[in-house]
Formats: sequence, structure tokens, C-alpha cells
Amino acid sequence: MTTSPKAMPLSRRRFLTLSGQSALFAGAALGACSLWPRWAIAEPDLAGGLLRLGRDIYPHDAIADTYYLTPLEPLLENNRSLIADGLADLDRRAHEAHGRRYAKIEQEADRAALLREIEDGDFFQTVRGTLVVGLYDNAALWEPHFGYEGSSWQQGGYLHRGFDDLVIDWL
Amino acid sequence: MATRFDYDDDSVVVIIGSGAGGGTLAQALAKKGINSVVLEAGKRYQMNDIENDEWEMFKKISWLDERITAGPRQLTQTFPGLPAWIVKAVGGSTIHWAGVALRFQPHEFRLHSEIGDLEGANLLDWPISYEDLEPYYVKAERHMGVTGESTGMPYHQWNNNFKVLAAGAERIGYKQLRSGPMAINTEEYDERGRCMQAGFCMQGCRFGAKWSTMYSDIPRAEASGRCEVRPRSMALQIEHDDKGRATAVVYVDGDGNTHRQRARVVCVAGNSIESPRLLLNSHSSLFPEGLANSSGQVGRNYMTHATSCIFGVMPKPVHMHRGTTFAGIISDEARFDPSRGFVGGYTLEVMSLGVPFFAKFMDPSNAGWGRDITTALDKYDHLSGVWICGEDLPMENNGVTLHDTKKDQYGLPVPVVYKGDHPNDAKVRSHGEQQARRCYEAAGAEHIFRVPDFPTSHNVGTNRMSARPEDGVVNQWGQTHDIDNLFISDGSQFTSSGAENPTLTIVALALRQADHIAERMQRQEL
Repeated sequence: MTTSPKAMPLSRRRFLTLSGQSALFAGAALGACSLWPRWAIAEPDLAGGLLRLGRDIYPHDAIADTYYLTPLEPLLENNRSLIADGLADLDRRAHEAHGRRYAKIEQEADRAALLREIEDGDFFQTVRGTLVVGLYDNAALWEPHFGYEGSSWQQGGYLHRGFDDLVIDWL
Repeated sequence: MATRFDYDDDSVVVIIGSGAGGGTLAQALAKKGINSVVLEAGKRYQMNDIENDEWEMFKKISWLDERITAGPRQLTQTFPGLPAWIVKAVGGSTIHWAGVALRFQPHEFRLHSEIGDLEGANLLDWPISYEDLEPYYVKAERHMGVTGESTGMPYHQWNNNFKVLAAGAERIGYKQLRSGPMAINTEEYDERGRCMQAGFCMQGCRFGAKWSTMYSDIPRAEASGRCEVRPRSMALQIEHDDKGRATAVVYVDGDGNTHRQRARVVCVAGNSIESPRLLLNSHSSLFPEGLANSSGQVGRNYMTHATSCIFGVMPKPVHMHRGTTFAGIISDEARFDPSRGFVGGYTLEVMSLGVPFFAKFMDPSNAGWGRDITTALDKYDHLSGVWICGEDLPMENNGVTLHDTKKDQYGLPVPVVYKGDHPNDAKVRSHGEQQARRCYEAAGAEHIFRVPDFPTSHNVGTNRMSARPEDGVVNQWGQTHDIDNLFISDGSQFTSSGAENPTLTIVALALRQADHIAERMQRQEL
């Protein structure tokens, strides 16, 4: 699913160093980010807005941009006007409240407050509904980020791999 | 070579559905030398179609035909087209069930006698007692391979998830903590292997350690030469003659061709949404309100369970996804004790979800996004979870009706599934949530949160059993009060929901019904 070659054996710490956070505010430098899919590099404004939105809906600081962008990409083909209009509306609201585009608002709490206003709308829920599967059904993230080991039958389940290995020593 | 019965062969029992009710019945009848044709709406899958993948299996096996979620409940917003999480496949929801095989308690068969009338609830005693069903519980447990006394199979080792919940439960004084009974083999039993603690019980057991009609009853019934299963066959209508006896089932096959299978007896086992829907869709000039509906109770008294989930974030990784999905049971609150402020009890059942479903179900409301959600998700491997299985009271207006205009791909009116809480249900749920929180607090959880109920897999009550024909749809054998040779063979027969998972009771009732049908046939009464 993901195009990142760096997906598999990353530790959580290593993920942190790959976080795309900084790229969001780099403006024209977006195109230089090699972890971004080609389409996103070609349409940096739409991609930047959509990425910011995705990261605000499900903010995991340690997960790289590409894991958000890849599942969101089909929306720009299949639902382009919904996404473009939705982002334009969001930018209008951002200008009114903060005098700048949504993606340029620095505080997460300020952006979240704007999103709460539109959370019942089709635009917001379409992006969220896409991401709740696209982000969390990505096996490349399961073990490195969530400690979820996924399919087990190939290894004979967890019978000899720790299904009962917990020692409760904190009580 | 697979047995084929002629469409005009009116000596066969036609069974609609191949899950816990229909699949069990087909095999039990075959053992008695009775021929059956099983009409199953879903496809047939093989063991290697079963994957450890939540979304893939959801897409593959779920019943996703159009349905409408209705009623004063959050599910109408969060899952407007998916009121129930059940299966459309050969084997039905026994592919998806998690294996918890609890018997109902004696008082749950006679709740009305215990408490009398309760405003807003359509309470009724079952026409059978626990004692009537007990021998069939034993048979069902041996048949399915349930850990515990009936089979001698030991309970499972406690997995990590259950260890955490149990540590808290013991500290708040609970005593009835068990990792069984489960219809999941802990050693080889009935030619099926032992549990490998793979997880993904609700996605189908790749190892066949969990009982399912998909790979136990159905293949054996077919091998006997006494049963023909027709997958991708959606029943449209049950026909009857002018004396009001069922004569045939009209169905459409996977290629869109309509057939009429004649029948000596018809047994409906399509789960609690499809079974009443089929009776309602089979209305005729003789039965204008639907078949077997002289009581007006077809499609009513729909019960799920009073439920929600509580999750705790523990100080160390738990890896709840390792091992069986529902790995342990706490029964202290299942008792009958109105001093708690409600009637009926609940079972606490430790449960897990994988990351994909946890993310989806954690807070499916429109507001379920943001930093609070992801903070919990980032601690996924530290989570432990428990599901509340609480008595849900029958209410006459909770149920299945047919939409006025909307039709599905078969041209049948879409079912509208309406469900609201009785005040008692809300109290059960809230008490369960509070006690589950206390367990996790006592277990040292750093953070505890609630996950709302998701589309239910426990659907019962919509063709309920009653002693008197005016109170319900079927008698104590599952035979409809109105039509001699028409039976209901699934959980829609339930008169109450109990505080237990329904499958074991469905199987026990199906085995009992098979005995009854065989006897009646022998006496030429059917």
C-alpha cells in the first residue's frame, strides 16, 4: 500500500526523525521532500491542505507524511470538487479567524477549533472516513508504530509467541 | 458425488440458512436419515479463504445487503446501513462468533414470573424451562466441543488481556472468573485441532479450532448423502397451499434464476433480521400480515444485548491481540438481583480488537477524531478491553419492518431495524461500565475510556417462543403456532436475551428441534 521504502523495520525513535511535520511549513520547498508521492509534489497547495487536515484529524507525530498522503490521494481524483471546495471553505474560515490559510495556522488547538465547526459536514467526514481505514489498515505501520503484530496464523499463532507472557508486576 | 434433490421433491426439509441454527439442524436431521436442502444466501468459502485481516474478512463475509438502522440510538448516525455485524456465507455467523459458550441461567427462562409486569417491556416466560433444555445443552457442548465438564477439555490458559482484567476484578472482590466455557478446542477434539492462540476469532478460525458449521456440520451433512447445500440462494418467499400448509420455498440463485423448491417441512434460520423479513415478505391473501403472524409478533421484540466496551491503558504492554478474542468471562454480575436497581444481569467478557477495527470503533461519532483519540491509539499495545453482555428486555416496538419503497438487489423491500433502550437496559449498561472501570482502576490503569456499542452480532427475539399463540410466533419446539410444518430454527425464537452469548442456546434448541421433527415425521404428523 505504501510507497515508502523505509516502512518495515523502523523503530519508533527512527520514525520520529522522519516526521513530515517540518515539511508542512516549508512552502516552496515541498517539492524537495522525497517521501511525498508524485501527485502531491505536483499540487503542493491541495496536497499541503489535505495533509494538514489528515494530520489534524488523526495526529500521530511519529508517523511520516506519506502514510497520510497515500490513502488520501484517490480523493483528489474521485472527489476532487468536494475536497477542493472544502479546503477553500476551510481557508476562508481560517482567514476570518486568524488572517491566514488553514495550513499556516501554527497552533494545533486553533486548527482543531476550526475543524470542530465543520466536523459534521460531508467534506470533513469523507476525509476522515478515508483515513480511518487508509491510515490504520496499513500493515507497514502496525508493529513499528502501534505494537500490533497483525496476521499470525503463518507463524502458528501466539501459542508459543507470548499470548500469556505478561507478568503483572506493577500492582 | 454431491447429492442433488429435485426441485419437485416434496419429501425434503428445506432449511433456510446454514449457521448455528440451520447448519446444526441439517446435520442433526441427516444423522436421523432425514433429507434436507439448505438454501444459503452467501457463498461457500474454504479454509484458505480465512485470513487474519479485519477489513479483508469484513468485506469478504459480512452481510452487507442494504439495511436501515433506526431508533433512538447513536448507531443510526455511526452505522446507518449496518445495524448488525453478521455473516453471509455457508456457515453463517458461526464463522464470526467468538466461541463463548455460556448456558442461559434458569431464571432467564422465566423473567416475567420472577418480576411481573414491567412498564414498557413486553416480558414473557419461555414455554420451556432450563431443566427442559439442560440435556440439550450437554449435547450441544459435546457436539461443538465446549471446554469444561461436558467434554472434559480443560479451559484455555489465561491470555494477557484476561490476566489484566482478572487482576482488577479480583481486587474488587469478584470470584467467578473463568477462561471458559468456550467452543474452542484446547486439545484435538472431534477431528479438529487445538487452538493456536492466533487471535482473529471474529474473522474466522484459520485452524478450525473454534466450532463452526462451515467446517463441521455442513461438510458432514453433505457427506452423509442426506443434505444438499445450495450457496448463493436467497429465499424470496415461502409458499403455502389453501389449507395454510407450507409447500415450497421460492429463491433466486447466484445467476439470477428463480427456482421453487418443494418441501415437506420448512425451517427458517436466517438470523433475527432475515427470518422475520422472510415471513413478512411471504404474505398472501390467506395470511395478509405475513406468514405465522396471527399474533402480530413477527418482527417484534428485537433484542441485542445491553452493551458497550471499556478499555484501560495499562502501565506495560499487554498485547491484547495475542490469543483468543474473547478470552475470559466474569459472571459475578450475571445473577438475578433487583437490589442493584435493575432486573437481569450481565456478563463481563474480556475482548480485543486489532488496530484497524479499534480505530474504527473507538469513537465512530462525527466528533471522534483529534488528539484524544490518537493518544489512546498510540498506546494500542498497552490496552486491555472488556465487553458488557447485558440482559436486553423485549419491547414490542423494537423490531424489523419492511421499507415502503426501497428494494434490495433481489427486489425485496429493505429491512428497517428499529431498536431503542428500555430504561432497564440503560441501567444495566451503566452499571456494567462502572464495574468494568472499577476493575481497570484496581488493575492500575493509567487511563480508562468507553467505546460505544458497534453493530451487533447478537440478534434475537423477532419470532419469539410463547406458550399461547397470541403472545408469540412459535411454540416450545420452534414450530409456528399458525402453520404446522413451518419452523423457526435460529435465535429469533428467543423469548428473552439473557446475559449470555446466544450461540450455545441456538444450537441446543436446534438439536432439540431435530429430535422433535424426526419424531413427528415418524408418526406421520408432518
